[in-house]
Amino acid sequence: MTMPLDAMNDVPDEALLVLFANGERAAARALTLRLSPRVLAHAYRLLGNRTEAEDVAQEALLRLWRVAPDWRQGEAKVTTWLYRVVANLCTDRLRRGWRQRPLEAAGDPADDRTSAAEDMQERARVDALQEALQSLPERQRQAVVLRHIDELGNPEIAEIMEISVEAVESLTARGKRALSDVLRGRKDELGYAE
Amino acid sequence: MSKTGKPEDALTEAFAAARRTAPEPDADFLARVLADAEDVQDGFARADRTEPFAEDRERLALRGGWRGVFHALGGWPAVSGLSAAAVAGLWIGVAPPERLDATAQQVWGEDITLALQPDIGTDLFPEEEG
Repeated sequence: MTMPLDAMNDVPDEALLVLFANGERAAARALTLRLSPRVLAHAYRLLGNRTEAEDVAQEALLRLWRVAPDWRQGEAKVTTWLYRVVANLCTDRLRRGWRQRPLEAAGDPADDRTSAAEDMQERARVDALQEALQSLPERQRQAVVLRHIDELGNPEIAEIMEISVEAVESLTARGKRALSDVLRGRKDELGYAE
Repeated sequence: MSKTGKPEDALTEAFAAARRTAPEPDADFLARVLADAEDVQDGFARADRTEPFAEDRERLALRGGWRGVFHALGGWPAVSGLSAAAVAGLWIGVAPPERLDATAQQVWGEDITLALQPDIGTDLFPEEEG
């Protein structure tokens, strides 16, 4: 028997993880497809380098696979745990002395609604944002990415970062101000109207 | 600075553009992640074979019935997380985001639609093990 392709969207990550721990190959595939895009994108936003981001994402997911049999149901969301692991792995890399190389392309724009000129301008703006993100202190960058790119709520960000909601608000506010300043300085180059 | 001239709108536009251009996992990356996952699962299976009660678990599963399924799944700790999905009769159809369809098929060379139905009903464990 089969189900429509979107049927699995209703199965929580945590239930899939139990199946994974019980050896279900289908759960391994499902979790890989569901979690990889989010983990990779988040690592890229924190590191600004696709190759490094892939390494971090693969390592974070490997840790998830290993912890699956001991996963404590109801204590944390799988994604919350993963965001935390990704951030820690990124921090480790930065502290070990890895330095950001020039930005690597994240990939092609995901939709085809734009003209080539618009694509180029969008790419320039995204690259500028990424460069500006890399100039922020780590915790500000993490908070801003979680809030404004991953679009998580402040309580979940607080749980991921293990700080208070007020501290999240403070980090994102300061981060946004710094980013605005950087983009304002490049408004002509990026095609933002005054 | 933006269509409205407000710096915060430029930033909002930039965040939206970043979401639209998020890096997508490619086939090689997905294959590496899945290979890790399956290696780890194989390790669970090896550990189960050396576990003293593994044989009992398999025997109970073969005997059938709810209690058998319960033991096969690993008892209460494992099943507790399943309950929400299982009560409805757990169906899993692998549904990658649309843009991952092609990549997923590249990795696995097959239609990844599948159904997994442990066939667990609403009355999971009418009488608990003694």
